Amino acid sequence: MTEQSGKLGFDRYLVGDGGKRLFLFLFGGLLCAVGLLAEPISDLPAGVARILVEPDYLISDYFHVGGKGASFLNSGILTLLFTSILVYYQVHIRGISIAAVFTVAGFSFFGKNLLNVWFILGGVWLYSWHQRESFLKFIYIAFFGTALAPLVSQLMFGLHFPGPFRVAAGAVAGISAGFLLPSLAASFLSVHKGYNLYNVGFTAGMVGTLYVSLFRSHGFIPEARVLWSTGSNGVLLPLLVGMFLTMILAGFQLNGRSFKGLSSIWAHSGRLLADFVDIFDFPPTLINMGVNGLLVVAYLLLIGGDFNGPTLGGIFTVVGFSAMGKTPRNILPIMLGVVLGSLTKNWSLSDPAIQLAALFGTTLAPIAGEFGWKAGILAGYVHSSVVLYVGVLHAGFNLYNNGFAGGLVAAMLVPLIEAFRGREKE
Amino acid sequence: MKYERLVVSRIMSELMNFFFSMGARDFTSHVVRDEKGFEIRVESDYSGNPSSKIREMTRLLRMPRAREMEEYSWSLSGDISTGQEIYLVGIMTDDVSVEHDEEAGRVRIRLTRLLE
Repeated sequence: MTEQSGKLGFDRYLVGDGGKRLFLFLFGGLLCAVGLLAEPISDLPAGVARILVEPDYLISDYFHVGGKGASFLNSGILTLLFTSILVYYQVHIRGISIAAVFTVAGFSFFGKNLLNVWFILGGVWLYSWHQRESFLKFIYIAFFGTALAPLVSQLMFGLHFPGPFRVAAGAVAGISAGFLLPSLAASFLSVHKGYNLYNVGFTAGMVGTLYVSLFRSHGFIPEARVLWSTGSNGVLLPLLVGMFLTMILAGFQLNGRSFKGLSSIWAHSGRLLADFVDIFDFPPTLINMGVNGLLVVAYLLLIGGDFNGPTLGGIFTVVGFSAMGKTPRNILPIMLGVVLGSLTKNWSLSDPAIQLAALFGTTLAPIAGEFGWKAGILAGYVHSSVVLYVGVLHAGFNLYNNGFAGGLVAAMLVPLIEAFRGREKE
Repeated sequence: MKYERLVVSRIMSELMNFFFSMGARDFTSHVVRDEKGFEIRVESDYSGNPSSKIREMTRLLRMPRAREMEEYSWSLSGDISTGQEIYLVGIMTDDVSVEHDEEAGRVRIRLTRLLE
């Protein structure tokens, strides 16, 4: 007879909260430093100002809007601020914390900015106040919920109405969208059973569809557009490769110069809520993040893709979610499914939307992790079609369009795969 | 937490799923609710030799409670059980004790979930 009792303490980790917070602050600091070095400092205020007043529904590459320096600065400052919020609320840094901060950092290259995110956070805070609960409980829904930030910018800067009306409309839309998210996010989880990692993206897609339907019926919806910059590969490639190699080396060093735990991470299905930092500790998770970062960079190189704001967002989101669900074993089949799609469908792998579909489509990684690589390839193949046609529902106001499409694909595929894989083992 | 009853029933469901997936034939549960919170007691047998799974289950049940993750994740528990979802039970409970009688092939679990 053996008996074990009591909860494990946070002192069991090789790296404590201080170290993990330092990692997030260093990441934000690095983004800021790149921003300050990428362009003359005198050009940055104007670039940041253009980013703040740009209607930034999908796809709005901030490299194109405000320049590389301003984009990095926008992303870096937001990373530092969101990490500071976690510190303020004394949140233990787990995989979900890293995923949330990296997702904010990534999407701050094409849609989230220093102005528009706060209205969504304000809406979630208002909800917590209304429910007489601590904001802490909804903090991740608030972070991920900033996917709907373009709602704010579009109404504030994309309408031809008097200024006070536009500002009020944008603020009300953002706050009300944030207010709706917490109660919906939990219920939409059960639709895809955790097989879509960007769950708030699915929820935000539904909320965005509702809002856009209202706007459309009043004639307020803009034409679709693609602002997509090229020519940054030479600058970004060494930066990204250096960053991810450093993660692998740092993880290896912190892990007692070993890859211990990495095979356990790679054996995990990745289904929500696979918090690798909590379950397997930070060092092997850091190695997993670096390896996945190198994999997606290599993929973009192989297909002749562009390194710009949106793809940088995709790369950072994959790396962030490598602390909560993504492994090489479960993301590669999804990406292969997108590649196979290029053989039978009328688009090219280097089309902007398809570059993003391959990166963000890894939201469906748990399908490959749980049901095997064939199911993963099928999910990637189907996803690469669905994601092209659902964006029209929310008019690009939900930045996590792949999370929305992924939710629909998972909701359809998972019950079918389960039904056809035979009786469960006794 | 607004949905305390649902959370506790999901925890029960998750544990029941887990033990049935390990070939349980005899699963009993007992839940006591008072003003401080819930105490959940579970006893189950299993078949085969799943010692490593029981060890991993125990480790995951001992994960500290994470209130900041509950609103985001509670509805995932109790749905499908691959063994990995036991982590959710761990982060939704405040205290745990696991007794494993390998000779008899039985496991007894006591979980506490405190209200605020």
